[in-house]
Amino acid sequence: MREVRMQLRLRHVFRSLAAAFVGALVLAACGGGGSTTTVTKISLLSDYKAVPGTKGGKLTYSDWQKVDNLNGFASSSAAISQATDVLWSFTWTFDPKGKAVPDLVKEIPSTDNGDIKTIDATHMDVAINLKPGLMWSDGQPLTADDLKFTLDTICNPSASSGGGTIGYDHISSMEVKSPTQLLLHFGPELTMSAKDASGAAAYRCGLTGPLTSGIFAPVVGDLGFEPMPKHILGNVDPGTWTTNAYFTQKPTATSGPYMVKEFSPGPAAVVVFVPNPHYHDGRAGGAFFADGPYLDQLTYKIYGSTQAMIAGLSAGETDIGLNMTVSDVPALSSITTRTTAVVTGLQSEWLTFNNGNNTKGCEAQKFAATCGKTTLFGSDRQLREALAKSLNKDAINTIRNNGQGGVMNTMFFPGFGTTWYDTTKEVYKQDVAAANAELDADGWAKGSDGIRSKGGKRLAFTITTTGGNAARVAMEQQIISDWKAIGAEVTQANCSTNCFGDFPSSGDFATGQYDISLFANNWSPDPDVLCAYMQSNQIPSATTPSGNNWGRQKNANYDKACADEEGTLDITARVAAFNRMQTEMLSDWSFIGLEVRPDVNAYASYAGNFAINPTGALSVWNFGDLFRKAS
Amino acid sequence: MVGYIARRLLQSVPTLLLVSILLFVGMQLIPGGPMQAFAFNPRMSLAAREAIIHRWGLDQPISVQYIKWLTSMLQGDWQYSFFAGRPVKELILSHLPATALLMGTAYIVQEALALPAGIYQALRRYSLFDQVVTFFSYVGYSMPTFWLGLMMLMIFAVIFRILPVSGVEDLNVTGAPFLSPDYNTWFGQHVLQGTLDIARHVILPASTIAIVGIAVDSRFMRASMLDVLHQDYMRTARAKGLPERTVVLKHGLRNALLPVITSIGLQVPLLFSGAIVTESIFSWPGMGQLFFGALTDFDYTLMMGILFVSAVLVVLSNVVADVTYALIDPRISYA
Repeated sequence: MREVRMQLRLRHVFRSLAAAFVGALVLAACGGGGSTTTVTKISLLSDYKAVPGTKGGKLTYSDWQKVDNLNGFASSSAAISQATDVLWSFTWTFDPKGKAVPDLVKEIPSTDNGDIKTIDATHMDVAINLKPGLMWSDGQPLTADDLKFTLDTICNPSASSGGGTIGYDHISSMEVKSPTQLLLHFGPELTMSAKDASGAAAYRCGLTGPLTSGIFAPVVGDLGFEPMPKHILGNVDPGTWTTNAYFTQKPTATSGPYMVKEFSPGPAAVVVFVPNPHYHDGRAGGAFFADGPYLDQLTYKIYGSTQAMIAGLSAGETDIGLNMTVSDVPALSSITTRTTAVVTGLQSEWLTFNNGNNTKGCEAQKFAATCGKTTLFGSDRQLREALAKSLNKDAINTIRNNGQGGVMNTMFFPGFGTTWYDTTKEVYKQDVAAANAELDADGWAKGSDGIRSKGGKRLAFTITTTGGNAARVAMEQQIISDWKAIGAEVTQANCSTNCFGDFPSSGDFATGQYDISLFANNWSPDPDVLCAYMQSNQIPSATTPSGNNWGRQKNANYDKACADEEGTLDITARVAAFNRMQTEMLSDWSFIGLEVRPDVNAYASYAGNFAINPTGALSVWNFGDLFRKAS
Repeated sequence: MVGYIARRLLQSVPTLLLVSILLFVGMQLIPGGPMQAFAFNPRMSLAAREAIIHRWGLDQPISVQYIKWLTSMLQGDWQYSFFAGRPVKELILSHLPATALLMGTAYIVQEALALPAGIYQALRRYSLFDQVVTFFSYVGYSMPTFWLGLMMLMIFAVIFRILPVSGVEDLNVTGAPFLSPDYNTWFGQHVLQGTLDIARHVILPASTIAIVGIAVDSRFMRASMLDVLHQDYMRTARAKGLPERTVVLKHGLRNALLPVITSIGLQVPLLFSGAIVTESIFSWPGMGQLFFGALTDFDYTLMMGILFVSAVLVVLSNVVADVTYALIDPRISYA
């Protein structure tokens, strides 16, 4: 349960990064960055066309995880975002193919349309142009002031933006040029104008050190945000937003297709939406979201469990069920009135080697690199490779996904798209003979009990994942069995509660209290997100406790590849950097990608324009176009 | 009598204080402590965490935190839920009616069937009725609640579709969640329809709870009654020529109820705390689900609020049971 929640929360956290894929391509395709490299123009703007709908009727959609509030600004819960994304429109969003869809903006910023301008090697400007005439649901105009207000708040350390501050931290200043245009200046100059929680001066927007460049390739992605109304929240201390009735009870001014009629929070939450009377203002005649909302009433109903939600789908109580897994497919397949869709998205599960010390027992000396027991892996690349090659990932995919997912060889997988994923690279193939040969060559000799030893050290270690998850335990057993076959003695040392607990400062993974970890994530299409897990400056420490490099990788090749792809708008250079990263993974084997997990949704045939979105954006992305077909 | 009640209430104060200290310290001892609520927000900056810690007073010594917490609880300020952002008291009060409705219904049905059944079983020991009720009691008692609930859901809501799957109300009819302002307006205009709607929704979850309860309480009542029926004073009553009805109901039942009252009294807090599994299966917006949600997210302030109120109710219901005991049993002195 906790592991699932982690995935779903991260899904939302990284959702905004989904735009990186599109943004970088659009930028580069349009010749941005002052690069001299010739690139083929690739249009990744959406070709989504909604079916014209009919007005009226009601629809109900459901999840099984609790909805405590309607805080679209701070929440990182997918279940909550499935409500808030209906209430607040994004500047732009993403269609199921991962292509950008302008929502509040007139156009997706690019160098081609002049909204992105490279000033010099370390500076760039980005203009966000709103559609003229946009209104909040209370009839007040939605302007560039609202955009600036929201970005200021995202960078306010007491505000706890659920989407994080990545990308925003490269903005050196902002100018409201007109009611419909906000101009963002990106640059490395840092001022100490921001304040931290204690009121002391701090670098802007969560930065802890200087920048070398303001250029940020995935910038378009990070600016896909939901503006908040300045006229409502402008005088409210951002530190108190989480307890403000605007977010906890009924948002009185929203920009999305629907607004709240009633909201009852909790594990059996109900949100009743009614149409936003001003949604049309500024949108009429546009290419996207121009004709909705269609429904008289949209209801979001939370069930206590997936079984209860499936019963609700079966009994016709709810029309759309979200966030299920392949284990639910057999039950769903018996429902003749609902279509079950199994869509492989960007969710994967992998193993991370702890290349530092296993710090079990060092809790009192948090992040003490010298405490604990050195693992076998940090200095033994051949061992890592042998362990990777010996795994039966097809069996793991069967255990986890009934064989309906995919298998991975590195952390890159086809879901990243052929632009980033180098299809010429070695694909997964179990090779036990090669693994044994690798270990033999590395000096790991088998003993009488079949377990290998080297230099007096036994090939024995632990594997750790979130406890209490039957599927995880079954996966672990498969992995342990595969590794036993090549002479490794592996035992389970699963967390009871604290794998991620008290993140970032004392979770077992963050603090290195493991040998090999197994967990999952939902990624954005732009592999830049992998850098958070492999850059050496992301190793958790007392000064950077929130670093995601829980494997303690110190690999100059990863560091350089990440720096290269993040610092350029040149698509070719970015692709080359990612290819180098992929090559390094096949040599270094510090991570073992295991399987790609599908999303499962069920929906009624009369839910017009419902489109499952597996890219990281949620399936409510186009609810402005959702309508009820005539029976 | 008043003095007796006052004395029992006074005796419960130190108990409650001790319970509150144990609850508070226990919460602090959980790995991660109160800030574990934010364990899964990898994008939360340290500054934001520090701000929250400071705002909630979690950077102060535990003794100071406890005194502040207790003082604010006594003053009616139960703080805000970490996740809902609403006052804890408001959340509890908004979920309480649904639980009281569910548990109250289940409780009434349970006792209305279990007590007479238990009495009759004792009076007709080893009869066909006794054997049949005993058999079904064992069946009911041995069925896990989650399984029973799911089976009832599948049979009556999914297969036959004669009862609803979830919730307290039909949202397509009411257009608003239970007890929301719009719902209350709608209910005021459609009292009969609204009452029938609620009744349809409460049948399955209340039956799930009551079936297990009937099994337990009927066995309890039967055993207690059997014990009493063979007492000397029952024989004396019959020897005096009293009608059998008077012997059973006045002399027998009154004494047999004593242990049953204790058992029933201990079940009263369930009216507040709800039934986690049943509420979850039927998506019932009550206290059980609220507590389970708080537990899984470690919503510290909400958990403290619910646990403390539960503790108060356990103690108070014991006081009520003791007082009832004293009223029924003449051997107990008020002095």
